[in-house]
Amino acid sequence: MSGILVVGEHRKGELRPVTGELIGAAVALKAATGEPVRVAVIGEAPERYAEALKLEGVDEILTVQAVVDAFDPEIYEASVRALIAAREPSLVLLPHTIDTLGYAAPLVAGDGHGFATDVFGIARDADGWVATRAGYGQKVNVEVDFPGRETVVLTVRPGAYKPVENAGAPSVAAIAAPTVTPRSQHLGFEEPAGSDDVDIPGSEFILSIGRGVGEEDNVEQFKELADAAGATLGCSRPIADSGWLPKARQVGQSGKTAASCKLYIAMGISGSVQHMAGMKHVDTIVAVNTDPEASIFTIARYGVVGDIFEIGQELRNHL
Amino acid sequence: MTRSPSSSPRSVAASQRHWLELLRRARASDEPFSAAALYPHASEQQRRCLEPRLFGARRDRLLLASAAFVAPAVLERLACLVDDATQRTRIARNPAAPAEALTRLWCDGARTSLAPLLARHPNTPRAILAELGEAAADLDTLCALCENTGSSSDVLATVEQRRIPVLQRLLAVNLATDGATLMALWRATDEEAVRAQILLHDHCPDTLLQTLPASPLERRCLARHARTPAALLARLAGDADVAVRRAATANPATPIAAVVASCFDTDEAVRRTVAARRDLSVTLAACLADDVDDWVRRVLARNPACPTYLLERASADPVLEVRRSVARHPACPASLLDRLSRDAATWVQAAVAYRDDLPLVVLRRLARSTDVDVLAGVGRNPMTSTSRLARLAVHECADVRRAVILNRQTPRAILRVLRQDPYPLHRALAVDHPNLTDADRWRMREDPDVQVRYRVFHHFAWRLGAAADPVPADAMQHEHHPHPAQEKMETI
Amino acid sequence: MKILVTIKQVSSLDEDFEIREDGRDVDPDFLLHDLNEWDNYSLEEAMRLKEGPGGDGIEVVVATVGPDSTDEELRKCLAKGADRAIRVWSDELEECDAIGVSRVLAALARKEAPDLIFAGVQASDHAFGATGMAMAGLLGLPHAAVVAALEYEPGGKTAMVRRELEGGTYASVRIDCPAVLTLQLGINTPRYASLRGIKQAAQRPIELLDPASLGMPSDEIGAAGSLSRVRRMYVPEKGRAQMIAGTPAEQAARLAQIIKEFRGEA
Repeated sequence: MSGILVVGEHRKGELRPVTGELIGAAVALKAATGEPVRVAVIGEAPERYAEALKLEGVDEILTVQAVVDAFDPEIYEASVRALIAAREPSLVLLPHTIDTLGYAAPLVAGDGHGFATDVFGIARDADGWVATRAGYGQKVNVEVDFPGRETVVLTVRPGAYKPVENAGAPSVAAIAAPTVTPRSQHLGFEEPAGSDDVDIPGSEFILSIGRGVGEEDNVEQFKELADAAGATLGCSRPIADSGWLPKARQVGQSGKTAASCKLYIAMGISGSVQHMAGMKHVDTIVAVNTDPEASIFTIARYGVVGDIFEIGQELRNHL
Repeated sequence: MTRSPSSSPRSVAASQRHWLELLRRARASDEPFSAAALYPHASEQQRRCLEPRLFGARRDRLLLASAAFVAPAVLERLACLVDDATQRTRIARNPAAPAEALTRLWCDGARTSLAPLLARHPNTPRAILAELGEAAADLDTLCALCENTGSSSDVLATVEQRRIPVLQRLLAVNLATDGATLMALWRATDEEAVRAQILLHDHCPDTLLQTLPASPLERRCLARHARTPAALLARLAGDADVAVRRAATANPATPIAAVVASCFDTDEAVRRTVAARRDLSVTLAACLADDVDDWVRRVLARNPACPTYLLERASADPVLEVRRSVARHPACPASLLDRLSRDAATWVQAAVAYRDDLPLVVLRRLARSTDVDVLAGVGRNPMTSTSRLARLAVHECADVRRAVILNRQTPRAILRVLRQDPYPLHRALAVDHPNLTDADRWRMREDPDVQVRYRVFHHFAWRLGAAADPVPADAMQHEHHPHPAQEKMETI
Repeated sequence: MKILVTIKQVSSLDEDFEIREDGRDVDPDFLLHDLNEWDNYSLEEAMRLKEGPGGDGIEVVVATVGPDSTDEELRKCLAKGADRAIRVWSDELEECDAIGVSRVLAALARKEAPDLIFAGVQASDHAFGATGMAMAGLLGLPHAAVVAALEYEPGGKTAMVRRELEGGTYASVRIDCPAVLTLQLGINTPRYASLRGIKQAAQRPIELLDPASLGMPSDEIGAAGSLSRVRRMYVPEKGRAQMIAGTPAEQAARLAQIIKEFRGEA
C-alpha cells in the first residue's frame, strides 16, 4: 500500500477550490514521505476537469465516469472504493465538505479503513499516518492514529492547506466505473431566495447586537453598520423582547439558529447560554465587549475588549 | 418588599419550616447551585451543613468558581478552600469574586500565574493593584492594570513611566488616566494612534485641544471632544475628510450654525449625522425631510427635535423603516399612531404596539393582529386588558407568551398559568414577577430546571433566612434589589 | 411505522480546564454534559411526522450509546413525546470512535427495523459528522447528509429532501425509503418538554442493552470496531480567543480586515 489519493470535488461543472488545497496537502506530504500523488475526479465527463488538475507534484490523474455529474453518495462511494482497489493508496484525502459527509463514513465503515474527519494536520511517523483534528468545540487538538489500518481515509478541513499554483505534467488514466443503482436521485440545485426577508438561518455573515446597545435609538447605527458590512443584523433575546428588532432577527434558544453562518460578529452580547445555543457552532466568531471576562469570549475566535459604539463608529469608516 | 411579611408566631413557625425544607432540599440536590442560593443567608451552623454539598466535590468547586451569578459570600469561602490552580484561575476570572476572595488568592502566594487576572479584576483592592504596578515585570500584568478602570490614576502614572508602546495605547484609553499622565504620554510618543486616543480622552488637557492636527484620525478624535473650542469644531465640520466632518457634526458642542452646510453635504453619512442632532432647528429639519437617502429620513423621524408636521409627511414615506421611526418618535401624535397602526407593514404596527401612550381603540385593533412582533408589543403593553393578556398567555409562539410575563401589569391568575410554561426561561422570569405571590413561588421549588430552582431558592433565602436568623449585613442591598440581574441567571 | 432517532450526550468545556493524566482526554471533572443540539432537531422532525397527517401509527424510538449518565438525555426525549428510549452500553464501548458507535447503532437498528432513521449532522463536541452516515453504510440503506428540509408521507416509498450545501445552495434529492438522514440545525423549531411530560418521563423505563445482546461479534465492539485511536489531546496555543489589541481605531481596522477576508476582498 503506497501513494496518496486525492478525490476532487466539483459542483455545477466547476472544480471547487478545496480540491486545490487537498492537492497542496498531498504534495507537501509527498515531499516528506516520497509517496506518489494521484488525483481522482468523478463525473459525467470527468476528463474535462483533468486539465485544471495538472499541477506540480501530481503524478497521475484518474478519471471515473459517472451516470450523472451532480453528486450522488452511492456513485461516489463505489467509485472511491474502485479507485482504492486499483491504486492501493496508503492515504486517501477527501475534502471535509457536505458532499463528502454523505459518502466517506459509509465507505470506511464497510471497508475498514482508518478514518478521521475534519483534519487540519497530517504527518507520518513510526506508527504510520497521524492526523490532527479539534475536539470539544475547538478547545483542544486531538492527535489520532490508525493502528493496523493499511489505508487511511481523512477528510481535510477546507482552508487548512495552501493550494498548488504551478502546472505539472501528470499522466491521465481512466478507471472503470463501477455499476451502481442509485437509490436517490438529484433533482436540481436551488439558490437561496434573494428576498428582503430576514434570514438568520440562511445567512453566512451575521452582525449581532445585545444589551450593550443600551437604548432603542442606538440600534439604528448598528443596522446601518450591518448594511454597510453586508451582514444580516441579528440580536440577542433582550433586544427582540424590547421590540427594538423583529423576533425573526433573534438568535438563540428562543429564537433562530445561525445554521449557515460562517462569520458572526457579536457586539455587546455577554453570551448567555440561551444566546450561545444559536451560534456557538459558527466557525469564526468575533466578540466585542467591554467586559474582558464575558462568556462570549470563551467561544470566540477573535476578541475585542472595547466599547461597541467606538468600535462600531470606527469600523463604519472602513466599510 | 419586607423580609418578614408578618411576625405572628404561626407565620414565623411556617417560615422556619420552609427554610429548613429548603436547606434539606439543597443538601440533597444533585447540583450545588441551590445550596449556593441559600448560603449567604444561612447561619454559621447552617453554612457548615451546606458546605459539603457546595464544596465537597472538585467538580462542583470548579462549577462554582466560574459561576458569575453566585453570591460573593460563596466565592469568598471557596477561595479559602480551593486546592488547585484551575479553581484559583476561575475565581480570579469571575466578575462576582469579591475583594476578600481576590485578596485571599493574592496572599496564597500564587502571585505569578494569577497576577494578570488580579490586575484586570475590577474588585481587586487598590493596594494590590498599586503593588502590582510597582513590581510587575510581565507585560500581561501591566496591560491588565492599564485596562482596569479600577486602577487609580497614581498607579497608571507609575506604569506610564515605563514608556512601553503597547501600554501607552491602553493608558490613553483608560478612563481613569489623569490629565498629567496624558500630557506625559503625549510628550513621550508621536504615534498617531496614541495621540488620537489622548485627544478623545475626557481628561485630555485643554492645551492639546487648541490646534488642528495633521492626521485625519487625530482630527476625527478632536472633532469628537466635548471641550474642543467651538471655532475649531466649526472648522472641523467643514474638513476635507468625511469621517472628520461626520464626527464634528455629531458633536453636540459644535454650534448648530456650524453644521448647516452638513445638511447639504455630498456624503450621506454626514447628512445622516446632522439629522440626529437634538438641537436641530425646524428649518434644518425641513431641509432634511426630503433627503434622497432614506437613512437620513429615518434618523430625522426618530429625532425628538423633528416637528410634528414633518412627522405627518414621514408617516406616508414609501420606506417602511421611515414610517417605523415616526411610530417611535417620542411625541408622535395620537392621530398618526392611529394611522400607523393600520400600516401595511407589520413591523410598523409593532412599533406602535410597544408604546405606552396609545388610545385604547388603537391597542384593541393591534391586538387583533396575527403577527408575533405586533402581538408581543400588545402583550407587553401596560394598557392591555386582562382578558386579552389571558389569551396571549397561551399563544403558540413563545415570544408572545414571554411578552406577557415581561408585562409588569400581568395579574397573578395569568402568571399562574405561565408558571407552567414549557420553556424554562419563562418559568424563571415568572419567579421574578412582582404579581406572583410567595405561595405561588413556593410551589415552584421542585421545578426540573436548575435555573428556575436557583431563582426560587434565592428568592426565599433572603426572605426566610432572615426569619430564622438575624438580618445579615448584605440583606439591606436586597431591599433595593429584591431580584438578581436576569441576564446573570441565564448563564447557569 | 417506526422512526429511530439516534442521539448523543455531548460534553462541553468551560474555560480553564485540565487534560487527563494519560494525556488522551480532558479530566472528566471539567466536562459539562448536555443533549447534542442537533438531536433536538432530529427528535422534533420525528415528532412532526408523528403529529402530522397520517402520523397516527408512528412510533418514535430514541436510542443512544453511553453510560448511565446518558439516561438524562434520553429522558429529555421521552419528556418531549418519544415513545421508547433505548440505551446500549458496556465498558468496552468506552474506547469507541464515531464508527465504533455507529456499529452498535446499526446492530440496534437491525433489531428494531425502523422505516426511517434520523441522526444529527454532527455532535457539538467532537464534530465527526460520521456516525449517522456510517450507520447507513453498515445497514446498506439509502442515505442523505445535511438535510435542511424533509417532505415525507408516512408509509411512503420515497422521501423528498433538501440538502444544504456550502454557500447557501440547496440540492433537492428524491430518496428511497427506508433511509438514513442526518438533519441540519434549523430544519424545524424544536419544542420544550412540558412540566407534566418531564414528570412522566422520570417514571418511564429506559431499555438497556449491551452489544452482546445485539449479537455483535467481539471484533466489532469498542476499540476493535473503531477506525481511529486517540493518541494525544492537548490545548492548542491559540486556545482562547485571539484578542485584538490597540486603540479602538486600530481594533476596528483589524475587524474590517477580518470582514474583508471573509468577503474575499483581501
